[in-house]
Amino acid sequence: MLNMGPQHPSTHGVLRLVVTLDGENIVEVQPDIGYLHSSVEKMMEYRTYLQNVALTDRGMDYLSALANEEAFLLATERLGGIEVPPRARWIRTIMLEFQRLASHLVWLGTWAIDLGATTVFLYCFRERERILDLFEQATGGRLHHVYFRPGGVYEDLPVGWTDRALAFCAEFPRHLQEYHDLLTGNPIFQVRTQGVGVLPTEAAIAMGACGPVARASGVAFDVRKALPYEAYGEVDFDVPVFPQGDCWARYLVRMEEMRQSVRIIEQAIAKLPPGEIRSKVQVTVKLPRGEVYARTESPRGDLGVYLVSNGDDTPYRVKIRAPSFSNLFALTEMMRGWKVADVIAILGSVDIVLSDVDR
Amino acid sequence: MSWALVDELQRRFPEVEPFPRPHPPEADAHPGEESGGTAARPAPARGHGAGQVFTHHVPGAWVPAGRLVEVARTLRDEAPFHLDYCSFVSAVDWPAEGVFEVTYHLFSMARRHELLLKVKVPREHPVVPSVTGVWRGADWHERETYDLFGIVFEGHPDLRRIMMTDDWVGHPLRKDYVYEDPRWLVELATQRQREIDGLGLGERA
Repeated sequence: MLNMGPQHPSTHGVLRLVVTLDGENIVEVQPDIGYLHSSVEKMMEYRTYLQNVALTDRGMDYLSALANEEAFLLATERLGGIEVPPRARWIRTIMLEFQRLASHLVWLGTWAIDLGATTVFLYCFRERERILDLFEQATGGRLHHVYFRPGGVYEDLPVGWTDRALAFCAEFPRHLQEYHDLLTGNPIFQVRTQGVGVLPTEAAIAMGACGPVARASGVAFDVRKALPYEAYGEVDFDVPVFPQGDCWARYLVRMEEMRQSVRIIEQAIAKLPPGEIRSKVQVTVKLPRGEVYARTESPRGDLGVYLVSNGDDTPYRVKIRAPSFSNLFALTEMMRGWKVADVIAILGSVDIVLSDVDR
Repeated sequence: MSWALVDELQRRFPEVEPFPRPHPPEADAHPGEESGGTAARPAPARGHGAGQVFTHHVPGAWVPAGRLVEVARTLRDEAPFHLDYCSFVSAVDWPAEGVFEVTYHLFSMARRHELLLKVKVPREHPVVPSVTGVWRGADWHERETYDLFGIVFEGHPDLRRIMMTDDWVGHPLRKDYVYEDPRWLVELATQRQREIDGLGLGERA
């Protein structure tokens, strides 16, 4: 038996893994979660829809706050029949893709550090800092934005913002190539990831794995493509899918996703229509009685919000289907049979955020 | 839309009860009621939407607890369902009716359609059969529902609390749950305050 965490730098948060070993081989892994449980779902029942937007930033996945806002608001707007003006939909799409880039950069940097490649971390955070600057200029916040509101976004983009965003997009593929140069051809990196931590396709679907983890196991499913929301139906992008199901495939999927995100942002800025950014919605909006389930593709995968309203100005019940929660469960399958030295590589490749797991 | 799936499900299992289908918005609007959405305005009384129709935006049906596993197996394996992906398992507490609605959201990766299953269980004796044998991914979701609602999933391989500590009392997401600070925490805070101020929490000179 080996106890890893809950305080350990490579658990990416507060996670405890109870690893049963036979010599150096892993027999079983039992993740022990709940250290960051803040019962966001309960808190939401006492807050208005607008207040809940702020709560999704903080209580859920803190590395992709805008993706959380989007999931919650998509459910709210569908249940309430609230219109979002076209300009706001496109602005949201741009922001969501920047959020994906920022989140993937943190994953790549920290995972590379886990595997002993410190330089990549510094490079990644250099670019991420520029995205956070863009966020700060548009939303006022670097990590927690409260930028998306019921019926649109809080403010229009500042003057010159799209030019700065395009300048970043023009430059980013070169940086992406730098990461590839540092990692992809690196024989140590290849040995530690190729063929390691395999999750077969059937197991991925049955265990509810989602997002890049599922796509690296050959599941060709992306919510942006399959069930388009915001402006995703009107932009052209590819969904990378790899059949191997190992750490290497999960790495390649996310690297390719970053390239596609840049593509989406460039198209969205080119198509950004003028007009209103928010429809008129009461501050304490009351939704009609009913239930809805809205799904989005957060950087970590299939993020769903199941919302039940009882006609009040607060939700009756909110269930957050967190992608990290299901992906962490799939980890138990990936780890079986590998060596204890692979634990860090496999765990990092799943890209979990513990506040997303625990909520 | 996947409402056709609900019809097919009902044809095979006559005991399931489909959700009422959502009407077009204009059909819902009765005079004197809020119509919600963009037209939402402050209602004169907080009536918890009394009299309003509950709209199900996701197609689905209520299933008797006794038939759940059988229905689940059919939904996973047989055409035209092939619902091989269980998004989540959770519950909604309706204390006024005295029931929990255990909720299962299912999705088909190949066919791209979805279905919501609900099982009504009494609040006094909340027991449902586990579907971990059908969808492995339901494992942790059922544990979470057990932890936060106190619903027992019979046949679950490892039904323990997952979020709260093992010695936690009560189930936080129930509507009648009231949070109280644990006694050890109150005593610790009182002691700390006494060390700083000479007076504990709530004490007067």
